[in-house]
Amino acid sequence: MDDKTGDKEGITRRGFLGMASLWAVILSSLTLLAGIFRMSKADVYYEKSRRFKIGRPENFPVGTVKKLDDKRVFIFSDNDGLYAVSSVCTHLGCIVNAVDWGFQCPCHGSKFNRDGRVISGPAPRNLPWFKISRHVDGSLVVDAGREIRTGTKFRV
Amino acid sequence: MNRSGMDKFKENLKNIRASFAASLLRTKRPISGRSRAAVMLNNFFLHIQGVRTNINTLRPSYTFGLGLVSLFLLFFTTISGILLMIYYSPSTGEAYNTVKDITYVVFAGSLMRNVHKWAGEGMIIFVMLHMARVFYTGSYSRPREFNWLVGIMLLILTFVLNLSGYMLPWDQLSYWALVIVSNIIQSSKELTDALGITPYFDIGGMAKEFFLGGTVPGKATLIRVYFLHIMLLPILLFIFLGVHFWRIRKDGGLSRPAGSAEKSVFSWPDLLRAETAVFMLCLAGVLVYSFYVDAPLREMANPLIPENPAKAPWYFLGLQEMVSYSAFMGGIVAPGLAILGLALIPYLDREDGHAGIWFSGRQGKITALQSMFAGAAVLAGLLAFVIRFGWFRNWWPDVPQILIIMVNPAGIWVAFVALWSLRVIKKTGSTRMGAIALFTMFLVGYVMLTYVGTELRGPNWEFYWLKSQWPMH
Amino acid sequence: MYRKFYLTLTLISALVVLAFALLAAYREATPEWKTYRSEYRKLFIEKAEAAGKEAVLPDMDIQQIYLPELQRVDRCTNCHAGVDNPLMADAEIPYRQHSGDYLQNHPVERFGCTVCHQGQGRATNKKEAHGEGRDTHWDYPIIPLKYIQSSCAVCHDLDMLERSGADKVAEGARLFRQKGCKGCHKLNGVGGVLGKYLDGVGSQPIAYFPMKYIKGEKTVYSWLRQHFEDPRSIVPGSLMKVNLTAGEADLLTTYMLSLRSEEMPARYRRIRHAGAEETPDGESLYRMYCIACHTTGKKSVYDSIFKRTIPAIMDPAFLRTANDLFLKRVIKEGRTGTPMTAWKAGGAGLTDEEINRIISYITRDRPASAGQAARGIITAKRITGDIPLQPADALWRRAQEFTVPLMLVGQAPDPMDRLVRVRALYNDRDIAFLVEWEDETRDVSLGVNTFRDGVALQFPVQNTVEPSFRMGQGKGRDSRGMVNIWFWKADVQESLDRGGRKAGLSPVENLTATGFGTLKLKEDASVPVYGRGQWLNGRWRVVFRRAFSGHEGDAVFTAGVLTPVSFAVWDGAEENVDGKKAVSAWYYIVPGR
Repeated sequence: MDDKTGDKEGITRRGFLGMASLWAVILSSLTLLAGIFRMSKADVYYEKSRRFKIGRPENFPVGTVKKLDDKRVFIFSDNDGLYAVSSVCTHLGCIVNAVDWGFQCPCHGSKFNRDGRVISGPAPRNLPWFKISRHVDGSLVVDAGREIRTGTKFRV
Repeated sequence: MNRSGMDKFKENLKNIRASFAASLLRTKRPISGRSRAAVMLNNFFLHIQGVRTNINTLRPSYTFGLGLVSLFLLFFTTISGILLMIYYSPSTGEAYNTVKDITYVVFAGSLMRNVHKWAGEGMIIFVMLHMARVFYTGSYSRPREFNWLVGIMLLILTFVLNLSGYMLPWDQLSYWALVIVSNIIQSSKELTDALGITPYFDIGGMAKEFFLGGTVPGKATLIRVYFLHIMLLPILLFIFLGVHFWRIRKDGGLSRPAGSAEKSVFSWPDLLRAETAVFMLCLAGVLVYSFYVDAPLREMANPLIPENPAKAPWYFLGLQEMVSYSAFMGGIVAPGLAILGLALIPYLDREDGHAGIWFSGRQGKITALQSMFAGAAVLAGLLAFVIRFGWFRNWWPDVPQILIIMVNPAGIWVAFVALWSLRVIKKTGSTRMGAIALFTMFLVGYVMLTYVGTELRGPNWEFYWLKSQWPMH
Repeated sequence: MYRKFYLTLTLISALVVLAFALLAAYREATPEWKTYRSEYRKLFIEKAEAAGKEAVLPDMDIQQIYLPELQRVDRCTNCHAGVDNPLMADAEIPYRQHSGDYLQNHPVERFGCTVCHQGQGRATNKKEAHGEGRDTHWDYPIIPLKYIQSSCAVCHDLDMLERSGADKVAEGARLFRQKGCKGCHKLNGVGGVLGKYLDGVGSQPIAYFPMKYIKGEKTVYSWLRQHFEDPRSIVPGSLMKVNLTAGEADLLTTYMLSLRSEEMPARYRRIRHAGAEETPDGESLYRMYCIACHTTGKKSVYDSIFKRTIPAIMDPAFLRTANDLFLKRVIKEGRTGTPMTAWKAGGAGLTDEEINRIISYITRDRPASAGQAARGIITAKRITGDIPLQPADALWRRAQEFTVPLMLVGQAPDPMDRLVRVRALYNDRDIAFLVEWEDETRDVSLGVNTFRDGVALQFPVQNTVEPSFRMGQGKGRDSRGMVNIWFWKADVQESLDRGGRKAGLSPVENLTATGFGTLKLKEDASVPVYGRGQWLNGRWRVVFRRAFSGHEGDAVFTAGVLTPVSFAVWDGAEENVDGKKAVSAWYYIVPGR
């Protein structure tokens, strides 16, 4: 049985059926495929949230530093406001220590200044600063998923 | 012509679609007979099918596409299963919660779970329908006997795959079905107990503990069942499936009535068209059903609170009904004989010339109908009797168990089926008719017993006409 | 071949697949909670503008509070997004802020919601998250607010809760101790055995409870509440006694719900154990364990549920004759065949110290009774010669005298002390008792209008656990409650003395009984009981003597081992006969050195 109609001009009913069913199959398959890929993307992560409350502004008097170990962040408070600096070294992820001139990573010797900028060592970038915002119930919220420009301080 | 490099480049860019298609299919668009043959031969996925297909194979009312439906249901089950694996965890502390999260949080998670469940259980139905089609069209006769055996293997694997999957959510349904199944595995203990040899040779207990990885269902069991379900059984299934298809080709394609032997068409595009149609139909059915009907999930497994009645999944309830008469007879002998009987059919019925015609003609239809009614009547009678009057232990409390093992409704039914089939062989002088009788009664038995186990058995395995009559705790 | 057929099939199926794939995608993209979230965002913006504050909006992605220490994942805030937003204080549910200031000490990020409110935290739609209905198959639906304080007790101790205003659990616990619930129910290993264990009852799944007769939703809290109201309507045949107001039933339900089996991690718990727990005093113990059946103990009560009489254990007349050893044995070992539980440490779990305190409490109204027999033990002295049947024989003076107070039964109580004095002797053949009591008149004739004096000794046939001292128990069905009675009758003694009967016969009848109305002569008369009674100057003295070892159905004596004995005296002048007499509770003979 030869299929010669594919050579005719225009679309016959016969050809339409063939084309339509082919396209229907392709479209439905692509839709399903898209759904399958979407399904593989996890909608929830089983981790602690990257946005967390740190308490009221009164708990951070001017001129103090608080190291939140479990959240891996330093909270600084000075005359210009509050800022949250990540304590995770940008080299390979160790937790840095705060020293009077800045931060020192104990693993491979990276050094950062008080603003978190890299001074020396193998770290490729500055310690990120995280967005601080104010929750409507008055407490401060740090969002470790949102980085802001180094130097942006949160005015209370 | 002297074309510049850029012209060549531009022309190749324009022809990418055509040249890619040609490299993939290794042929041009198949229009002539030669190219149609080539596309089948030269393609990895397509070459398992013959270049030409007998027109009988394409006839919907011949096969109803049942084998294809089974195959495609398998594909859907496999793909949905693989996707579910991304989120499921086979640890007794976690399994239930991951299944819950699949239904609540994962995009299309509950749809995927439904697809997996309904395609999987649909396989049981359609594999059995496919087996019935193959049988009633006499397609097990020479040279297809071995493929019939492979098919039986596939049937068993389908059942076990469904069963192992049923266990994985680790909810009340799973846990107590597992308890029931592990006790069915222990069935031979009834015989060794009755013979008094259990202390020396406890094959039933050993089998149960081997399966459970312990004495009660627990962490080890779940991991084992998971391993069976995602790895060992699918590997075996696909190996047997490969053999199944290869044999189809080697046996000369699907069976057909004698005389129509050589009317055939090119597989491309007719067979492909038919397969695509069945594929999409199957997909549509599964998708629609899964869209509306949710796979069940009960409370978390609780070893202290038994389900009453504790039931195996529906496809094993016929077996569980028989086990309620005698564990050994109902759990091992009757199913074993059933499978043996099915397997021997192509070897005990060597009549040629029956293939390709449903029921092998008028006499076969009559035999089938007679066997169906006779079987249904006898089985219904046996069931009514045992439900109303009980059995030996109800009348003679001290009767030795060995007597119950040897004489009980399951055994009587199996004996009746065998004797009736032999009688049909004698009366009709045809082993084919006997086979029809045997197979029909097997189907009747499976369907009726499954119905009784599903709908008519309530708490404590007591008989109830309706679920609404079950006594509430 | 069949081209049109297959192509049409393909086309239609593919279109169906496409349609449903898109439908499914739409359904997945519009879950229930998104409606609530976007509504919340709108509200938030409105209210923030009105208040002049900045609105930091939540995103539209799915949120969860992941609490691995508590082994929970709570997704309630997908709909209840305003739970910690003060601007939402007057919004409607589900947008409303959480009431009170609970979130100050229990921030949602650290606690989630379901630790207090229960419900199915993982679910993302209202019905399943709240666990409404049996078809959600969730055993712990949202707990009604009137019981919610039960969750507080999972982390906090009750004193602290009371001080902070969450006193329902403490109130419930107090009621529990005062209503005698542990008389039948065990909790923390101590308590009676007639009811179910209460440990972890608040965590039990719904299938644990018989829900057949529950009205309304079939949940654990409904079951507990309705069960407190009327146990027998929920559990047919239940023995539970209960008399509670509606408020008390609510409090007790809260307390029951607080008995959970989950352990909170140490970081969440704020339980302070104030030193070692002191043992409560006798009265508190009595209320905890005894009061449900024995109530005040002042009167004996026929209980229609147990179908027996519960004795008046604090009735002064009873206390006069009930010695501490007897009370202790009954309390520790219980009474088989009755609902009285064995309260010993290996049984229901009370320590000896606690039992002693209960006994002190019970016996505080005991009238003063004289004599060493208050301890309960009567020692039989071993001699080498023959034991005399004559009450006046001097040998009897070698035996120590014990006083046994009696109580009147079958007649009005009498404040006057009735008592018998008992001496006991034994040798390698026989054992004998001399019983003396005051009786002004010598009544020796039994007629239509005359009654005779008499005395009886009663022993249990199996003295492992004492049966009722009111002639045994079991009513012929249970031989464990059988007693052996030696009954001396004054009129029989008189006619023997007068020579009216053949010599050699004994004035003591050897009988068995298993409760009132079952008295009968022992069939096996191979071990007779001999006796002799004498009246002199307003005092009867009767000797009983029997072989030391008996047969089946006889009282059992063993050197160094306690044998319970009970005494009964009939005063003919007071028209005493059958059940109208003076009896003692169980005392204990021990054949000593």
